Amino acid sequence: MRESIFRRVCRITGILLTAAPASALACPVCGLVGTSDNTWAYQAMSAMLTLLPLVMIGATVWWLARLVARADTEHPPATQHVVDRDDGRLNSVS
Amino acid sequence: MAVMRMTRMQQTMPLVRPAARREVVPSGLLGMVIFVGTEVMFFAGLISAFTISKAGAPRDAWNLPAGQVLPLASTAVNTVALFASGALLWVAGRQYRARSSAATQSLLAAIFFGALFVMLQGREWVGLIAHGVTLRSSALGAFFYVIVGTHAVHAVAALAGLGVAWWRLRAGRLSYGFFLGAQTFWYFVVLIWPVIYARVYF
Repeated sequence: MRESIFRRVCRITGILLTAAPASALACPVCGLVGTSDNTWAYQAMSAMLTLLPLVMIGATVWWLARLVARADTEHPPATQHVVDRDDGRLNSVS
Repeated sequence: MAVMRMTRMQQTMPLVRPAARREVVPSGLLGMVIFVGTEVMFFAGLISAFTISKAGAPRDAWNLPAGQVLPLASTAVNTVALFASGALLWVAGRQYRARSSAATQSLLAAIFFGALFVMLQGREWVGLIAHGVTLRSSALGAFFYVIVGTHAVHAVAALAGLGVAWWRLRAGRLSYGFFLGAQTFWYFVVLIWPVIYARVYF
């Protein structure tokens, strides 16, 4: 019984997902490609939307790496102490 | 026996104490930078849709109703007010880092010019609506109100953040991370505007 309801829900969801883009006109802008003089705009904007996030992520990573490097130079990371209890001496590693 | 073996293992295993954590960038600033990145993509999507629609529309169809034109000159004045606000916030940031009491006045002046920008934009909207330019009047009108309106919403939100920063600064409770976060968001509002102005108004 439970499985049949699950299948029904899947079927209805599938039909809705298939029908929604057609009735909602999800991308009216893309529909103009090839029918007018906006191919250059479409390609330029595609390039912008592709490259912009990559540039932003790259810039953020570069900025963080620079901050970490500067912090390492100004304040070296605290020394980690390795204690060997057999001989009771304190060995330090960075 | 097992207990004795465990104790022996604990004695011979070296203990590694973790290094103390360091903050290389305030969490508030990093969070705001990531948020601003998503907002940049949001505006990029809007401007992309505008550009493609404008390029695909017939020449005569991309107009406002009744021969209206977007107010280029008065918006240029508004833009100057917005840039003045950004410059004053930069000055306030320098004064805040130098622990100068003048930071409060500079921050208040930045908020004033930012609010002036929003009010002047609102006045323009009232004029356009009175001349029949609405969301439904034309494609250009729809794009104009959506893109410029979204920017105005961001400006109001950023001004609220700056207002909280000013209030805390006056009370001596402003953290550096909060100030940097509010400052970053306002810089985003200031710097995205010339792109919108150049793309939508011309």
